[in-house]
Amino acid sequence: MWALVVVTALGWTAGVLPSSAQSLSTPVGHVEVSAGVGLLGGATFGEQAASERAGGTGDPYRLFNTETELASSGAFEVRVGVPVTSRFTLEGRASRGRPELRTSISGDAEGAPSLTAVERVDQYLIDGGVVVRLNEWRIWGLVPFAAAGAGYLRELHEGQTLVEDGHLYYVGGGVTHWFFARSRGVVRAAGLRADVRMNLLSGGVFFNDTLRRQGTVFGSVAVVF
Amino acid sequence: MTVARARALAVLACFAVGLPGTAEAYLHLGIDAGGRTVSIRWTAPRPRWFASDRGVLSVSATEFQAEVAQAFASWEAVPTASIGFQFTGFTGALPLEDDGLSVLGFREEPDLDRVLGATSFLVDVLTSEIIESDVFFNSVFPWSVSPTGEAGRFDLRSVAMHEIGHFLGLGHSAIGETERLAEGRRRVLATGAVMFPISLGRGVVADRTLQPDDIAGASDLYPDGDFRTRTGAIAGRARLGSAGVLGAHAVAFNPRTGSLIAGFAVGSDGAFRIGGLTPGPHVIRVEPLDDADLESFFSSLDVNVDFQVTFHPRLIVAPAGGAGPDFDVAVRAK
Repeated sequence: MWALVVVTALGWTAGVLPSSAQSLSTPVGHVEVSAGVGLLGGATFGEQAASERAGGTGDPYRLFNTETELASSGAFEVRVGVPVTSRFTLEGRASRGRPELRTSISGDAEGAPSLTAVERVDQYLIDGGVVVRLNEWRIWGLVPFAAAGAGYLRELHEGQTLVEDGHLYYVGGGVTHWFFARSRGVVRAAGLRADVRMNLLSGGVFFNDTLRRQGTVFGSVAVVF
Repeated sequence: MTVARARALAVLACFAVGLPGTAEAYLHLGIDAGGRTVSIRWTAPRPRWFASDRGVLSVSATEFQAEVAQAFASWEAVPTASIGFQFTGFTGALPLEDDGLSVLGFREEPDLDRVLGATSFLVDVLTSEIIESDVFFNSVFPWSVSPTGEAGRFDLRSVAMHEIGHFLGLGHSAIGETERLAEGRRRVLATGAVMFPISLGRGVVADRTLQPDDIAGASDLYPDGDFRTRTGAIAGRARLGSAGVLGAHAVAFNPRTGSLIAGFAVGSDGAFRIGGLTPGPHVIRVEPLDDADLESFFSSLDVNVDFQVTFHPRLIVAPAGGAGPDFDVAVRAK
């Protein structure tokens, strides 16, 4: 629902914002598009023992132990933003990563060698939020910003045989460095952007209903039209 | 009506069992129907059962009936299975008699000195419908109905849970660990299913609670509602070199829920299928069938137990309402 609201808001604002409303620190224009690559942080899912009931007592008997994590992985992203004011931009984003779900198996009661069983997970994040341009803190040509929002998580197990949905909230920030900025032409500005985010994910392949944290780092090329 | 009697010895007993054509997570009792093994099951709505009016020194007939009724209730409470039986009354008839009554009760069988209980069936061999089933509890053993167990005595309800699993048509589960003792005896280290063929021992009441493998087995035989669409399956093959491993025991462990549900490689190609799984990734562990007498599971198969316990290096995903792609588990000889 949140993503739908953001998309609607983007459609309403695109093309109606006067370029004169933009600060000089932020290239003027109607739509900022960026694409890049980055790193998705991993998450630990915790331990789970394969337990039976012990003879003579019925107490738990550990057949083997497991510890599961979602490994960090590379990812790519695409963003579309529309300035609402010189300070605030509404932004939508989609990213895809392919982390490994890893379950380390150890301590087998019958001596089976320890190993790590893995599967590849396709992770899709679609989110939207607000970017706050901190133009007054510009330094060495870098314009800092802060961002926050929410979105939808979709994770597919290996072979795409099972889909697990969830949602996310995020806070983050970064800097943008513009190579050029102009008030005329189709391309109004181009530059590089670096983002650091903390995602709070729920659902997906995670093993319980609590939020899991995921740090992300992305670098992208940004173009303003 | 064409009927045949088949005796299923349950605990500490050699048990000859057939396999259904589509073996799922567990063994179901079966009969040979024209060269094909078919699972036996109750088809009548709420079949009736009787309790023997003979108690033993430590357990009255009334206490016996109450414990068995509780065991029936536990199976009937499985949310993904449609199981229902009704207690009709006490009877002077003994279990294991062909009298048209399904009777559960004590019976003295001193020759069966390693058998706590046993279940027998009268089956229509044309329809594989169970017509009658009797369960006896061997009164040569000391019994208890104490909720917390009683040292030196076997918990009646725990054994009743196991026997009623047979009464439903379930065979034995192999989720359990044992060590060999002298004279062919075994000591149980642990079990992960009420339907494991050997008791947890005197004074233990842990088998009053059904385990995921028991629940999956009952649900597969008597599925309720959307059991088959809400659960998933995995299908694989155990192989030693290029040859299939007949009788390999494959266990699916869900690292999210902690459940253990197992299946058997019942063909010479080593193929196994495990159903009734919570959708999601599973650890697959393949082991030789060496924790109980082979006769507890198979009657005529040339089972290979000469290989090492092996984990599959991939997590295998059980999708909802179906099975994922087949996979091979390569095991090594001991």
